[in-house]
Amino acid sequence: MFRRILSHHRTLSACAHNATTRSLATRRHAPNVPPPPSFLIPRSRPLSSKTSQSNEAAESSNKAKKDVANVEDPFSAPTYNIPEKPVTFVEGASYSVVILAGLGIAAAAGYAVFKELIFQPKEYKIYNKALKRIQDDGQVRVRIGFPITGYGQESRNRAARQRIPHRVWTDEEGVEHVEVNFYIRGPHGHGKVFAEMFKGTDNEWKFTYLIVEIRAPSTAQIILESYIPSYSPTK
Amino acid sequence: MGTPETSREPCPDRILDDIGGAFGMGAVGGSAFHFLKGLYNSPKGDRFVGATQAVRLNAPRVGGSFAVWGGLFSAFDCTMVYARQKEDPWNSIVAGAATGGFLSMRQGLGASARSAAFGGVLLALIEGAGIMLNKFLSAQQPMPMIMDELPPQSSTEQSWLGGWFGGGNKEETATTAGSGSETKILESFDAPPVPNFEYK
Repeated sequence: MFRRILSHHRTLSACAHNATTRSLATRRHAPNVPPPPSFLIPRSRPLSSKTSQSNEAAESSNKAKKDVANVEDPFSAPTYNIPEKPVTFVEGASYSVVILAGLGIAAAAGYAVFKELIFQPKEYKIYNKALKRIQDDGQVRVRIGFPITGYGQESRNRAARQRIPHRVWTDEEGVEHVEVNFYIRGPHGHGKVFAEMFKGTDNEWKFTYLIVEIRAPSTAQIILESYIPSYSPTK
Repeated sequence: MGTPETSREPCPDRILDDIGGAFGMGAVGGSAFHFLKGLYNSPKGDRFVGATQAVRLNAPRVGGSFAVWGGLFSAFDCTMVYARQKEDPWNSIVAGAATGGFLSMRQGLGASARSAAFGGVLLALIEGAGIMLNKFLSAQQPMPMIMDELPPQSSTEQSWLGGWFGGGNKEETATTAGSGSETKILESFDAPPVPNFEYK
């Protein structure tokens, strides 16, 4: 309001360049109670009315907020969030069936893994027996030194070195044969091993043949095991 | 020891190879994972910038952790190969357990034992899956393997078989020829050599 009055004064001073207007301005500023002009009275009254209206609106909004808060109180209780319809017995039973199916699948996977690893596969059994036989043999030690390491394939890949090439077959008498070949390496040389074992009547593995083909430092071929069946002259 | 073929022993050079390979796997996998995660978590309009920023922040860290794990695993695996003088899946399982336990040793023995068990089970699953896959692939050809063993039989047995199956000789020869070529191509199994009985 004061800014508007001052702006009006400035416009009046800017419009007129007479001393009479300046004298009138000084007269108005000198006394503390200026005479109100007729054209300023209606502008001041709507401003005051606006302020009173805003106050009334604030009060009404406060009352509305209180009413809303009062109305929301009963619905915030947790007892109103319980669902109307409980889960049926059939639905719960189906959930337990799904859980049991998942556990069954996990058990089957675990059994498959253990069957392959804990109960060792046949090729690793034959490989272990053949490697132990070779490591304990003096003829091989003399040629390639000690200790002797065995691995499946000549490669830098870990999986390839751990995989033993093998062949499993059953002969006409129903006896199971497992044939493996792997590599051996010692401090002084290396070689390749060909071994075959069969499961005898007493359910133990026996060598059909165990051939060590030494390739370095010098070529040699050693037959450590060769199966000779028992001879009966009556047959 | 001076022979050049001795240098084909993978350990201990394989440890460095595995560190590099593991870092590569971790960096590439971590980049892909965090790119998608950044795309999902960024606001609309800034998705690509957010994704590239997430990759730049997290991919080296994931690669580093993979390299640590791979290096330790390879070191333990080489230690097992040296101790046992044998290469089979048990080396990997023990190395996985040792790696898990070693990396969690800072958190106490209980957490270390738990991580070791988890590492061992994880590697056991991986090795078991590999063995089963290998068995499944090799099981696709049962007949050529069986037919391969008939030619090495003695001549008397062959004549005996020929006497029983008069018209089967041609089929056997055809299948053996086909199976021979198949086995040579598909399998890496070598037949035992003919032994020469020279004086040792």
